[in-house]
Amino acid sequence: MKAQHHILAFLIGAFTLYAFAAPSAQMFAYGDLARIMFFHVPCAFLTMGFLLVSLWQAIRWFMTRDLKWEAHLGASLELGCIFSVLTITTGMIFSRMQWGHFWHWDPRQTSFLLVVLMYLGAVALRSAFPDELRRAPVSAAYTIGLSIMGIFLSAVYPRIPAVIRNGGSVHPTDTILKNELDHWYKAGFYGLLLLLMFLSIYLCRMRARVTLLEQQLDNDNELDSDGSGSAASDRVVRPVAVSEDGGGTSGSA
Amino acid sequence: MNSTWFSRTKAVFLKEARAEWRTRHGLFVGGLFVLLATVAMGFAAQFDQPSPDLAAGMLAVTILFCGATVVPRIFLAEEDQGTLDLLRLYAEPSAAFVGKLAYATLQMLIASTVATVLFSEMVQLNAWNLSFLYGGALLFGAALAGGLSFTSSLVAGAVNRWTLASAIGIPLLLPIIVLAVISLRHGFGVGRYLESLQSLIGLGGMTLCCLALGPALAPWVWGLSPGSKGGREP
Repeated sequence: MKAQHHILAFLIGAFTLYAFAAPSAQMFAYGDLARIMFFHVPCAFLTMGFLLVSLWQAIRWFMTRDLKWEAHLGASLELGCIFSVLTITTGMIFSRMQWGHFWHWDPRQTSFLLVVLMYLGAVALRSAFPDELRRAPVSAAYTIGLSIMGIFLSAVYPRIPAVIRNGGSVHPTDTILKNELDHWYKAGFYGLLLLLMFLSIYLCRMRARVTLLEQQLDNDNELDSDGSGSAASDRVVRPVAVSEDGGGTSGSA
Repeated sequence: MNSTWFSRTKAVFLKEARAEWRTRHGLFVGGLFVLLATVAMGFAAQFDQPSPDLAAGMLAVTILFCGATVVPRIFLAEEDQGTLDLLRLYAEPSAAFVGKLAYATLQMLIASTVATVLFSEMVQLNAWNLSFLYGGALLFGAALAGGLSFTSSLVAGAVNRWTLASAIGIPLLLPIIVLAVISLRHGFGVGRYLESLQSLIGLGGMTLCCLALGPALAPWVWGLSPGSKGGREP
C-alpha cells in the first residue's frame, strides 16, 4: 500500500473523530445531531458532482468511442449511486430527529429521492448489458437524459412558485453560502468534503481500472480460444495477481 | 435531413399505423387501461368527491401509467419479432426512431384526451379552464411519448427489456409530473393563473427536451452493433 493511502486513511479517521468532538449546535431540537451535516452535506455535494462528471464522461465517450470513458462512466455512476443513498439515509435520520418523521415530502427531500431513483435506474440499465460494446452507447445516452433531469431537480424544482407556496422547504439551504457556520463546523465540513472528494476520486479511478483489466482479460481469453483452438482449453487457469500500476502480472496460466 | 429521410420517416410512421390498425392490439390495450384506471379512480372516489388538487394528481398518474403500458410496446414488440434490425437496414437510425416516436406521440395524445374526458366525467369534476386542463394533459402525454420512446429504444437489446423500459423511464419522467399537476389543477379551478402558466410553459419546454433527446441520440445508440466501430448516420 502506498504512503498516501495511509495518510488519507489517517486523515479521514482524524476528521471523523473531530466531527464527534465538535460542540453541539444551537437552534436544533437535538444539537448533537447537527454533526450529521459533516457527512450528509459532502455526500450530497459528491452526488451532484458525480452527476456532472458522468455527463462529461458520457459526452467524451460519444466524441471518442474509447471504452476507457465507458469504464470511467460506470465507476462514476456507481459511486454517485452510493453517495446518493448515503445522503438520503442520513437526511432521513436527521428529519426523524428534527421534525418527527423520516419522510416529509419536503421539496428538497423529494427531489433528491428522484435523483436516487435515476441513479438506481442507470445502474440497473448497465447491469442489463453484459457486453461493454452494447452497454457503452446505451449507458452514455441515458446518462445525458439523467443529467438534464438532475439539473432540473436540483436547480429548478425547489424554486417553482407553486411548490414554494405549498409550504416550501424546511430544509436548511443557504447556511454554507451565507457563511453561517462557526469555525468548528467550517473546519470539519470543508475538511471532510475535501477528504471524501479525494477518496471518491481514488475509488472511481480504481473501479475504472478494475473494469478495464476485466475487459482486457476477457479479450485475451477470447483470443486464446479463437486462435489456438484446443490448446487453450487444456491450460490450467490460476489466480492472477495484479501489480500496483495495473500493468504487470504475477502467476502463470 | 433530406427528402429521402422524410420519406423514410413517413414510411416508418405509416408502417406503425397500418400494423396497429391490422391488429388494434395497442389501441385496445391502451384504451382498456385508460378505462379501467378511470373507473377505478371513480369507484374509489364514490364516497367523497376528490379535491381538484387530488384529482389533478390522480389524472396525471393515470396518464403516466397509460404511457408506461402503451409506448414501450411500439419499440419492444419490434425487437421481439426480430424485425428491428430489418427496419434499421431500410431506414437510418434517426428516421426509424422519429417515425416510431411520431406514432407514439399520436397514440399518447389520443390516450391523454380520452383519459381527461373520462376522468372528468367519472369523478364528476367540471373543467374550469379547458386550455390548462387539456393543454397540460396533452403536453404531458407528448413528454411521456418522448421520454418512454427514448428509454425503450435504449433497452431494446436487454434481456428483461419489458420491465426495464418503464423502470428506467419513470424516474426520468417523474420530475415532469409536478409541472403537469400544477397545470391540471388550474384546469380544475385551483391555483394562481401566473404560477400555472409558468408551469404550463415549463412543461412545454420539458416536452420539447424529451422529444428532442431521442432523435439526437438514436443514431449513436441504434447505429452501434457489437464489434463494429460505426454509429454515425450515412
